[in-house]
Amino acid sequence: MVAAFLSEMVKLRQRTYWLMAAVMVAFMAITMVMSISGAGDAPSDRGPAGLVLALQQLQASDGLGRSLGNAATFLGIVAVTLIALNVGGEYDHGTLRNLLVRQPRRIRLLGGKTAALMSFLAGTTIVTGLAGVGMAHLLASNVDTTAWQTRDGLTATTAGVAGLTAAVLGWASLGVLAGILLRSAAIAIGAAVAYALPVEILLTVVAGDVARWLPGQLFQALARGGTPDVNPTTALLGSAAWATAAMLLAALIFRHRDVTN
Amino acid sequence: MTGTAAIVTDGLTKRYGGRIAVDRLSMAVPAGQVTGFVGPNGAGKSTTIRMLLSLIRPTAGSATVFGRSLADAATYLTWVGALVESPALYPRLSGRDNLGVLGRLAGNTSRIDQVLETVGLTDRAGDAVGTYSLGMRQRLAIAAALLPDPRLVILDEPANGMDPEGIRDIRRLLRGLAERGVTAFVSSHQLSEVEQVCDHIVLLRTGRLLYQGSLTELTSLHQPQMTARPDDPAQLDALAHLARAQGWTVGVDRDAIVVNGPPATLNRLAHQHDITLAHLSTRPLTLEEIFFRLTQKDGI
Repeated sequence: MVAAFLSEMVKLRQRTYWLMAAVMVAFMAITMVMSISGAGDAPSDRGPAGLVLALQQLQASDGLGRSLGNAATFLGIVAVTLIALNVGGEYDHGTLRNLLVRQPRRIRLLGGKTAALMSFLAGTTIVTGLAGVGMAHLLASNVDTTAWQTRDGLTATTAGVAGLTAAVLGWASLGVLAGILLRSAAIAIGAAVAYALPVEILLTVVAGDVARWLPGQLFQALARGGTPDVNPTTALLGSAAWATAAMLLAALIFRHRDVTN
Repeated sequence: MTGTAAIVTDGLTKRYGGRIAVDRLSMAVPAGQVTGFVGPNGAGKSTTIRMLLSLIRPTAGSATVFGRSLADAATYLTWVGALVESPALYPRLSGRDNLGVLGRLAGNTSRIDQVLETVGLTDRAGDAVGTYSLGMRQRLAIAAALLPDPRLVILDEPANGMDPEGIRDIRRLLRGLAERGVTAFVSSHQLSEVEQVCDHIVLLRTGRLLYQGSLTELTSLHQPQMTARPDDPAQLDALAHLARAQGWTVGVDRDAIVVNGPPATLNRLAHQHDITLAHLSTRPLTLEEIFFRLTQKDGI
């Protein structure tokens, strides 16, 4: 598995991955502009763009940490795109054949590959989160940020970055499943993005009680430290369950299906 | 290594629903030789190769590579280098990085420079593969197959996209591998190339084995092609009639007939019927001619 991990790291030299990282930072910048500059007297639910806190909530010690979580869905979409591009691309280019000839133990190959991609995404999300913290301070000219600097504030911000990272990795696990299931980068990306935005949003509108158990809602709740519908513990356990189920199903399919591409 | 089999299949079968891609294939590929794997499109060559490489599972039958069963592919594949169908590469990575991906996966990157030199890509190794010509990509894919210093190379259409110089290089490479005791199993449509480089042939049609054995033996099983030209062009039809009466297949090529039969018999017949032959020659059938005969009927 270590060999597969090291092999995958070579592919991260491709510009596509660094472009995706830049897109994540750009999404974080947009999120921070909305969350910091857009804070008003009352909180405002922006759907996939998260919850813009009221100014008073924003100025609390956990105001910054909670606001970072607003980027979860958009960063998640980038993550799912990047993973689906990688995994689906192995089928598209036929490179999976070469990899499997060199490492026929498929679970080891998938494990190493996924670990490398998840590491890249975790690192990128942490850097993006830290960039978000920096941007928030730059944008907070009309916000009292004193509470953010306290021990509680720093702990909440760290938890915010950690929650965001966990949410992005949750999305990434769905990307692995989409790439393996659909065996095409374009189709996997299309299906994943279609699910993350219109499909899940529609489901939350038509079946709110059930929809809160959907992965996107749980990942967003995880990144935001809980929502009115989902408490943090439920968000963590639910997200872990979705991610584990996605990875197990992906591994099962990858292990047993013929490689005909 | 010569004298033993590198690959043995026994009743190897692959079905996709109701369609049989490979049908009870039993073959032996001798070790240390170059074996041509020949058949028309859809004959089951790539499916067989994929089964040997553990990319797809057989529906029935078994196979061994260097005595190891398909279930033990993780062991034997460390000795195998393969190019399956078109070159599969990462277009945004350099040639060297493409090999680095596979080298790291195998835990050995020490041969990258050597294989790049073998295929003549050292100067372009740092360039993105997306800027390579088809022939260069093919060379890089062959370099990838050679990376693990294999005992067996399985190459699917290795000369695709190659210019004449590249094809000649492939031929030399394959002969060089065989001289070092490496087994080469080469699927190709370029039958003249197969003929020039292969010691052994496995011929498939619609998933079934049509022939396996030495190329020399295959050629000897078929009557050489004879060309006979009467001195008097007006006797061409009479000569053709005599040949047809023997049950031979007769073709007319301008002022000569082309038949498959013993030249002495035709010469005697012509003489008995007062036909003077101005030209009588024979040549063995090419692999391509044999291939078309075999793939257009059921047997040898």
